[in-house]
Amino acid sequence: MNNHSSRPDEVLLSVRDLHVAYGKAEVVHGLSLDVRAGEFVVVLGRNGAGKSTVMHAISGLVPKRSGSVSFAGQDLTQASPGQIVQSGVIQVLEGHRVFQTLSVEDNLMIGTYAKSPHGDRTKLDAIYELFPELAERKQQMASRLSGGQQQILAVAQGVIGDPKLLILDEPSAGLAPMVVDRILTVASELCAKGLAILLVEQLVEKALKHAHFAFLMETGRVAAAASSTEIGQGDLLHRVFLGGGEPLSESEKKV
Amino acid sequence: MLTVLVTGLAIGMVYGAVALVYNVMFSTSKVLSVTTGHISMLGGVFGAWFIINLQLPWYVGLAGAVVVGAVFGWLTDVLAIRRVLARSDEHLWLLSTLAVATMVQQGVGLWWGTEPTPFPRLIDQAFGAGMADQKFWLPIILAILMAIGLELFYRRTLYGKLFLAMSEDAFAARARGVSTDRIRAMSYVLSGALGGLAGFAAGQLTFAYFALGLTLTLNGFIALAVGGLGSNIGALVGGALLGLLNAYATYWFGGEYQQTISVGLLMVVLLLKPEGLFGSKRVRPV
Amino acid sequence: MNTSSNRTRLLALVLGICAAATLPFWAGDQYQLHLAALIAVYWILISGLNIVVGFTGQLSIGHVGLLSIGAYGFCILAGKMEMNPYLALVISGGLGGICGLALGLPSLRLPGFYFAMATMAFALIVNEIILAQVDLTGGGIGLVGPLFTEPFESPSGFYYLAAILAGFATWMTWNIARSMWGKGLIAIRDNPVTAQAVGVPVFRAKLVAFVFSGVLAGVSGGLFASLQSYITPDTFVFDLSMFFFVCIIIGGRGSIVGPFLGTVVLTALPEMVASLAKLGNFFYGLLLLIVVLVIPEGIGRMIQLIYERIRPREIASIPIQPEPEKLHQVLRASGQAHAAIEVKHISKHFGGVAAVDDVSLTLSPGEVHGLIGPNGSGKTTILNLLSGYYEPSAGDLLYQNQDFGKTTVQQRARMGIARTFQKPRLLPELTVLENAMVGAWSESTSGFMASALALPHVGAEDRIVRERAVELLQGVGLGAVMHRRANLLDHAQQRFLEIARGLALRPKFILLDEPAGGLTSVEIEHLGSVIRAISKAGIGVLLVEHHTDFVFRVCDKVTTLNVGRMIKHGTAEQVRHDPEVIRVYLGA
Repeated sequence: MNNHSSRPDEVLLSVRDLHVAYGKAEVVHGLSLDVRAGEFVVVLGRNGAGKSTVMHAISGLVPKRSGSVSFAGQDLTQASPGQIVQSGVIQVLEGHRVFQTLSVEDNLMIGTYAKSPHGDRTKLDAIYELFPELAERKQQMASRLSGGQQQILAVAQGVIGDPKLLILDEPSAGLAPMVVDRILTVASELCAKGLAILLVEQLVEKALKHAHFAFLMETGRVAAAASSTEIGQGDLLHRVFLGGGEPLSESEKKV
Repeated sequence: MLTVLVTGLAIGMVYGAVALVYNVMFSTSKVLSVTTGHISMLGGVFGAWFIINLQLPWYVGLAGAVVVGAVFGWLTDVLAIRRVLARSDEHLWLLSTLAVATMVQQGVGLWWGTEPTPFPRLIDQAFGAGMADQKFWLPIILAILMAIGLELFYRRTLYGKLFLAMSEDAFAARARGVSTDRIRAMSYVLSGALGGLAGFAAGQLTFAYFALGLTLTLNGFIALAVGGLGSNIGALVGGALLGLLNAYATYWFGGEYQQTISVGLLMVVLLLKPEGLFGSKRVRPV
Repeated sequence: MNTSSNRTRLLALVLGICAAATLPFWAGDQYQLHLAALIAVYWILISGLNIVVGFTGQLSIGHVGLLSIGAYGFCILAGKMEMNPYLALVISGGLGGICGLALGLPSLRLPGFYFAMATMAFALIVNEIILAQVDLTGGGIGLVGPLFTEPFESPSGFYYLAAILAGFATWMTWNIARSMWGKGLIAIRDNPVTAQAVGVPVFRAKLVAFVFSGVLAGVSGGLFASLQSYITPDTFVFDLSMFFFVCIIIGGRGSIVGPFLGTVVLTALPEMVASLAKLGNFFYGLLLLIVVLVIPEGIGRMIQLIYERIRPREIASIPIQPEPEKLHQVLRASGQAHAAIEVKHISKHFGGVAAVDDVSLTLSPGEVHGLIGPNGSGKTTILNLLSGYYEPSAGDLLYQNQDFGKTTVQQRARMGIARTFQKPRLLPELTVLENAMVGAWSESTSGFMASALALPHVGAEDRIVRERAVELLQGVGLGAVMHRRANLLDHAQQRFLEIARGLALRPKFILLDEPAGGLTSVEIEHLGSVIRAISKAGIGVLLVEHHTDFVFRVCDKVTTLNVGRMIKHGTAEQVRHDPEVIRVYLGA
């Protein structure tokens, strides 16, 4: 059953035939995926499948060997990270990478830099409403926050930049389940308000609860693409993550 | 005796100012540039040239020194840092900044001459002013103002915070849309301007002298390492300690072993507290 | 490595030696003879400095200080104290070595810029002391440089003395470059983590190289003083240090010929082109900048690149073809371990976070033990604890009932623990074979000086290491690319090379850090057969992997971690079907 037709029509992010290499070693081999307007898309896959590399390439943080990236009709393949952020694609990096030596508020202000080089204080209130735990700690240095709070700060740092597409790279890494739930719930709420989400996650079942559509990556390629309900049924994931049985058949690999 | 104190403090503040310049460049690039002392040398040399040779008023000379410093700081980034950082080979920047520093020092030696030239008086003051002589107070006041200015910059302005962010995690800064190339260039222009200013203020103490570049690079570095990489307070304290040690040692034992004593101080501090007096273990030197 | 290029090199060498030996006869005048002698004298110092800068990667810009110590030492001993000049020369060398030790001990542990500044300060300090000690050194006035006795008294005689010593220095550094020490030093330069992992005593090696360069600098200084016939502190300006340094960088790292040509060209050039001489150090700075920006690996590499562009060699992509049987035979010949490594209640804290919390497992000889778990579960931390990069916060690491938890990385290598890295850490400028040979560092017992003098047992040891490395490479499937430079390898080849390097250590245990990452399914099959051959030979294998399918196929036992704790341990079948493991991986 092909569920692609139940996806929204408007394509926001389009990645076509992406190849990324580190030196001589190619790690992404002709990958294509897309995110539609208002969609919550999750990219699943083992470690080493190249998920983070793809995200970094989309945001212009690593060079692409070939392929194209476009967003809302604009070609971003050769764009600088700054231009990509300005066009509305904002990424929250893996590992709650906030600036430890700066305060919560300073971290948020840096999130507004791309669109407002002198910082935009007006954006702070909305963020503090969305994340009250940050409002309580405005002037605290980020290093004093717990891991979970830092991850929330990282997400807030992304959201404050007024993205049209928010990329979340493994927000769950090393965090307690409650925090992960909070983050994914906030992401869902933002998605309901119109923000497209591209989530990379290892916690498959949690992610599929919130996502509309899923791409399954294996060794630098998309091995399967289907709606989240379809992917959740059957033993596709079990076989990919825990092995056993035959490798994926051609019909199961929809690129 | 008090003259010795003031002399030592003054030259120490010159070293401290150079250490501040090191800090600003390091903050965005993780590079310690060999050209750091040479920027101040250029400030002094060009300041003297503007005022003495071109007969311009002292404030034009000052502005000129700052501009020359800023340009040279920018050149350091463009020539020696930008392309080199892109390569994965560590410490290539040591060679490139060494190369640029050598070219600048020799270039100035060829153009300006190799004799130390007395620097002109900036404010009307008799030469026998002793301890109150401006040649002592100009560098001291300037270094303190520089340190205060930098603290305000880092704490109150967004650009200052961007410097700190870049220093901590350049990749994450890029993900936030920060153009790390531009910010780094900015920091080199800023540090160059500060260096030129420091060299100008110190001119009456050090004279306009082409070989000053290497001396300031080395002694500024000793001030930096003693005070702690990344700390502006440390830069001034380290500089003061170095200057005072040198001055008193010269007073008591004669000036023959200045370099030896300075390095001795450095070695003692590095052995006891490798990150420097005010340094943090988190800031890793290169 | 084709024989025609070898023959060309040999021919060039013979011609060069003939030209050097007969130089006084065809050199134009006294001045050119003097120049040639100067080149020889400089080269003695630069060849030693080359080992420090070009091979070990320590950017020392203060060697002019050692030169002046040697020069002043020679003048004082042979001149003022009227000692036999040859004895004085030997003592000057010794002085250079002692001062190299004095400088190296506190400085070599410092990070790069700090070290460079320390060496520069050293040169300035030496100058200061010389100026101050007027009674001994004549202060600013300087000293006369004594001549040697016949037959080395005349200019051509001196030239021969300098040339012979220069030839000897070249021979020694050539031997070091080709030996295990040369590879060890290059490892320190290019990948200190790898150097530690194969057992290189990093600080001690740096110090030995530095002292060696000090001795050569001292000898060079003595000869220099005699050649110049008069020295003052002004003779030894910092510019000279820059000059030495630039000769090496221009010539190219890791090469003996390159810096030699650099020395010849840079010494002769200002003499021949007067305008360059006027520019002096400006020219050297400009040259250094151009080299760093355009061809950082030196002119030698640039020539190689031009050559490759004229006659491009197709770097064919050769698939990996392991020979598991052969591998098994080679490994079996080393003998096996008889005891297991016991990890007992190991914990590791970073700040307040427990990366590993009370984990126990047993790594038995001949067994393949898999370690799996999601991101951040502590797998790599366990690997780092076992290989010595981290110290446990609590718990014991036991082998033969002895706790080795506090031993160094190098000691673990000697114990017989080898490892690979998540991102391959190879030495890009060495060939595949040389990279593999580096793995055997801890078994080669030849000292630095023994290698320099090419004593017979050094060559014999080297042959054994080389032959075994060849067989290991064939065993893992890289036989066809043995002589290729490591930076030309693709990802899979890099991974297999790391395994071969680990096996060269004659390990009792080998720790593999995500070796399947980025491999195709065919390559993973090969990896499996290699791992099976390793375990059949009696080596204990710890396999950290995300490719769970592969782990369950290849491992005898599997331990699953989550958030630093062990959640399941058993056979592959048991773990694969455990509901807790499934839950952790699929994330409820």
